[in-house]
Amino acid sequence: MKNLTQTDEVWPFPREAKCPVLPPPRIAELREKQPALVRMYDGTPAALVLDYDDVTTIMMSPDVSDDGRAAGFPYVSEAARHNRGKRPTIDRLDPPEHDIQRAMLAPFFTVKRIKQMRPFFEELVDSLLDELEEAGPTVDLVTQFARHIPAAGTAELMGLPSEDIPRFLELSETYQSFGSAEEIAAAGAEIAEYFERRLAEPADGDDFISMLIREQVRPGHLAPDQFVRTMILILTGGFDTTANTIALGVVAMMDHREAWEALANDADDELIAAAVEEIVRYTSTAHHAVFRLTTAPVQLSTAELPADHAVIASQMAANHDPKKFECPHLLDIERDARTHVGFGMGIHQCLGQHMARLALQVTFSKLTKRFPRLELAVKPEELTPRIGLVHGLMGLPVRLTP
Amino acid sequence: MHRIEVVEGKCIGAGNCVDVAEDYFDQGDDALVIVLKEQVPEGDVAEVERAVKACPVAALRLLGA
Ligand code: HEM
Ligand code: SF4
Repeated sequence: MKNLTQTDEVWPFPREAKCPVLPPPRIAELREKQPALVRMYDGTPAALVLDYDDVTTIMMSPDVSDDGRAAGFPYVSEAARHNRGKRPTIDRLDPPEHDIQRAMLAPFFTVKRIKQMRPFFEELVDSLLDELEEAGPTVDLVTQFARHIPAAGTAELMGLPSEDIPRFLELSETYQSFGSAEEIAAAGAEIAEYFERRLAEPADGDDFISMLIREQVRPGHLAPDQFVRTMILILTGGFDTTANTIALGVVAMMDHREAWEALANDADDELIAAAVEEIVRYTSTAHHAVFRLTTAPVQLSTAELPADHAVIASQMAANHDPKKFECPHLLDIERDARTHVGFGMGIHQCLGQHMARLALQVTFSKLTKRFPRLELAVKPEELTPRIGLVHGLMGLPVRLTP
Repeated sequence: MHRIEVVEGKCIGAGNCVDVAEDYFDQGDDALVIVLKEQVPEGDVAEVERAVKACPVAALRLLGA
């Protein structure tokens, strides 16, 4: 391909050791020369697309496939290929199957339905903050706070017993790591068994899982193994993404103290919705979500991709495109960041986005108000990044009331 | 006056229009979009335009804008 910038670099690029939040510096260097040809771990050549308009073109084009079974489909690791390439769920399916299955799930994720979860999240975050205060003054915001919020939220949404949450958290973390293929497969198998048991039980409740079994699986609209894999997707899809948006959002605001203070003083929550959009844009935790394969030539701003070409549409690069977001490296909670692609764009746009928004709004509103003087207990460069499908941190030591 | 138009068969029930402009959009039991008010006075155009732009599948249009 002569109009692609040739590189022999392997995706993903390393992040800068000094900064646990911002995209790898190599992205900014390649921006003017995008799309660039990079290689996946196994040598598969892929076009790396960084420009906001081009990334949304890929996400919305009917000539781009998300079917992970196709030969040449790009995967970030052997484990991801092993796990995802089997019988696909909506995140790796094309229409019409994608749309049929998404339509089964969408009614459980509507704005109105998610809004009803507000009191649940408020109570949850209040009690987690009480526990933090008791454990303080120095705590780990990842293990003692952030990861519990999406876990409890997803369990509530799906109707899972809360005593099962801790085990799901462990399994989900292994499942989304870059660990060995066996380790990841074992974690997947244990979650699968859990939902297989649910399939065998009576399904007469009004919760998400019972209704899905009763209305879709039993009448034969959704195959049992696809149901199980979809439950794994929903369970694991929301954990690390949301938890790490909380953790990285805190780190970003420590570097933009005025944002933290503005939220702490925002008694009527007038700033919180826009602030959360900006934090999702800035942190872009789902940095390895959008891999695709072209099925016909696709015209981008600077090049035409041929058919059957692997593509990485980097949502983190699009969210930091200076042509779209002025001074993208500045966290500006008052800018209108609503068109970010942190949740994707097109038919695969995040199914759980409204729950994520609600969880993040409640969390950042309450956390800033409870601990307005919170500060990092280590230097940002001492934080350990989590290497995996989702970008994040292994831990986040903070002092609550310095 | 501007008018909201829904492009037939595109909506996937993502709900962004409702999240941005709940006076103009709702979702039915199937999660698909319901337009509550088709006519948009000048003062609300910016809000409805944001909602139209937030739709991930370009299922909405604001005519006369
Ligand atoms: C801040 C939190 C979150 C972020 C940043 C995020 C990000 C994303 C992104 C970028 C995609 C698109 C992937 C693609 O185009 O290939 C996606 C899809 C998806 N997300 Fe999320 N997500 C978050 C929270 C959640 C939650 C809480 C859930 C579930 C409870 C969830 C479930 C899903 C599912 C099922 C899909 C696949 C949708 C489809 O392919 O039609 N996500 N997410
Ligand atoms: S934003 Fe678009 S896809 Fe989502 S409900 Fe509204 S019209 Fe449908």
